[in-house]
Amino acid sequence: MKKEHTGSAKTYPIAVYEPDSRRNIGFLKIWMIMLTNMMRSRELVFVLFKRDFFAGYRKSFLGITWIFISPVLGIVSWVFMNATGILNPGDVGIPYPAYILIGSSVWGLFMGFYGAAEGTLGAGGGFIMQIKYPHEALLIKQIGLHLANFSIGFILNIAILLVFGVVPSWKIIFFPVLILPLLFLGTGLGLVISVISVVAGEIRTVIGMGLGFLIYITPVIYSSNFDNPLLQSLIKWNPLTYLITAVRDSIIYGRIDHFDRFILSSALAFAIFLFSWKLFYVSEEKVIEKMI
Amino acid sequence: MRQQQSAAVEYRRSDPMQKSNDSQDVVLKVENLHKKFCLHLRRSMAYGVIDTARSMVGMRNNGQKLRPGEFWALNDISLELRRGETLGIMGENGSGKTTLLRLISGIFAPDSGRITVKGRVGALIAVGAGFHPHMTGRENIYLNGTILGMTREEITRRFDDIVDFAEIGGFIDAPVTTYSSGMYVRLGFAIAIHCNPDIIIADEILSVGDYMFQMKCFKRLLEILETGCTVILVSHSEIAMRSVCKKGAIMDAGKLIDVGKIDDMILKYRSLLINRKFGKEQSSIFSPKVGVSTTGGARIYNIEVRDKNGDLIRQNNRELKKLNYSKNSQLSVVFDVEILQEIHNPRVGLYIRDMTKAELTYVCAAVVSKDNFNGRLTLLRGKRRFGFEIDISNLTPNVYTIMTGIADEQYHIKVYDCLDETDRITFEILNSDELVECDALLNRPYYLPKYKFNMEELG
Repeated sequence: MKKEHTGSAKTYPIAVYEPDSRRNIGFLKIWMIMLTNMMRSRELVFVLFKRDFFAGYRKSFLGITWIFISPVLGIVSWVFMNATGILNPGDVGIPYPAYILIGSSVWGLFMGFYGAAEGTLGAGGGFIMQIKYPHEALLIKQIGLHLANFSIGFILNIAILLVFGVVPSWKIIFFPVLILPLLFLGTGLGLVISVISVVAGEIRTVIGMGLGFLIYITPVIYSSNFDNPLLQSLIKWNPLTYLITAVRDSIIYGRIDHFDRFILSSALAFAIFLFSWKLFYVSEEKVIEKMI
Repeated sequence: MRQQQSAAVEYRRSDPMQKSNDSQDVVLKVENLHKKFCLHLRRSMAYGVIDTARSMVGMRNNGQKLRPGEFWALNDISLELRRGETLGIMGENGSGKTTLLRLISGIFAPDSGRITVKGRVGALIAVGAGFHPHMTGRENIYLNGTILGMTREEITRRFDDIVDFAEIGGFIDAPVTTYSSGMYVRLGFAIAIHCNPDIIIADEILSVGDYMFQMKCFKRLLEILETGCTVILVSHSEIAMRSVCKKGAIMDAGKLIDVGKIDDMILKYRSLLINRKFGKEQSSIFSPKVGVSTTGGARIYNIEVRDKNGDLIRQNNRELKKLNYSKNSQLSVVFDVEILQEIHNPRVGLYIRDMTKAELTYVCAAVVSKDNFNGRLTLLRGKRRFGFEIDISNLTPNVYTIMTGIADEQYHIKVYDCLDETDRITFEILNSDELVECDALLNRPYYLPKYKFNMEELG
């Protein structure tokens, strides 16, 4: 779809397909088009979500119970490590096991946003070449799937913390807002990679590995109290540091260190998101035919 | 948009006067459309990277120029359809039909040119798109229906019709993975055909399901046509084309060769295929025989076909004229044979076949002496001319092939020489005003026509 304006003659919608027509649409207009497309395709998002979320478990004996079993199994390893004391490297002045559990959970949330967006075109489900529909719907479905899976695990995580005597701060209510920058950054990167990886499959692998490496320069599985100056500055300049620790710390301690940097990083994430969204929109029509 | 679209459908239905006004309305306009593809996978990906990068940084892609390895999948296509018009697109595999449909549906973007579509397009291309095998038929109807652009409420309203149409019955609450492949396709098709779009794009719809189901789809399509829907049909079935479409288009190697009345286009397409199959030029007049073993005892070296008025319509491999359909037409076929060895009790015969190789007309004459009709005759060496005048009133507009042969009384096993399809002695009957619809769809049986036969000695 290139220019799609409805109305004018009678009540028939008119679609005009031209080469590069998306190129000429203004930045804000693209946003409007994509948001409208999403609104219009909410039924499509819903049925696709339902299909992917529930139908996968149809053939198993335990059925949708698996939705809960998977995160529980994930926590078991944490409980084991916690019990053996691996997660207690002496006095760091914080509830370290909780720090790890919530931190890695938030990291998983970010990576999940990326993965969901990166799979947008791939999730076309075989009919992307056969039927015309707004592909934005796929992104929403992907994010929805990820959030659904994440929330179940996350609720279990909080429950387990309570069991171990760690009470989260009341500021946990800001969680849905605080994860927005992670959503913007993750989907922003993912959307662009989703398009590029159709024509250059290696990019997906390379970026995937690169993002995996980021966890080492983000204080997720360790605290930032150490001396290596290189690592210190890497962490300092990594926006993910602030985006992830803000979410985690607001839950565990009820405070956000470097709030200014968090706001700055969030703005950056949002800018990346806006920009990549436009890139996605103008370029995805070029790659659909290559999805063979 | 969806609500607007369904509103459009209701609007049209509720106001019959609107339909006649709208019939002048252009609903599809394709202007100088080009689409290029690349045959090499890796190079295609490289071009993809370049094009994607260019569009990301806001540079225009040069859609008019082919890069190495690329070819025109669609080359300068222009087309216009008005509301209620029905177009059948013919073309060999790979001629660009499906690509054109994909561009019209908006799935692929054009490289240059422009498509304007007015109304909701329903593609009967993807039957069962998005079906999940573990979900029930009922759930998949909602899933697939939504993918095809129906609202939940629309699906609920048409649900029973869909199930009835698909003849799924009690299996509707079983997972579709348990369906037979026929049931699966029937369900998918039933959903697609109940979408009630303004423009239907159908790719080979008649290849779905068994014969009865195909007829049902057909009937349903004709019902939809009644509502003033515009249809683009791609099919290799001439019957489907004839009964659904008024207009025809021929595509070849990405080009739109011609658009016109469907009957004319069907014939034109047939001759295109025949010319392609048999080639334009031939080194010798008649090719060596394949399939039939001839003894070489005779050699057919000239054949002439004339119409009722004696006008030459074909001489050997040269077509000079086409026939117009007439209810009582005659064909005169004359062929010259050099007899190289004596033939006892000779038989001379002639078949007329259509392109499906159905034998529609067959005559066979025993060559007898003028003086003694019961007597046996031996054809001595020398040149003879044999002539048949055949009633061909059973032949409707089409391209036909004439096969002739000379044999003796064991003609089914011993043939001295013959001309078969490879010699492409064809003639074509064109549409004419005399043709009424029931003639066109007439099943023409194997037919022993009235004929006259004669033989003369040639110097």
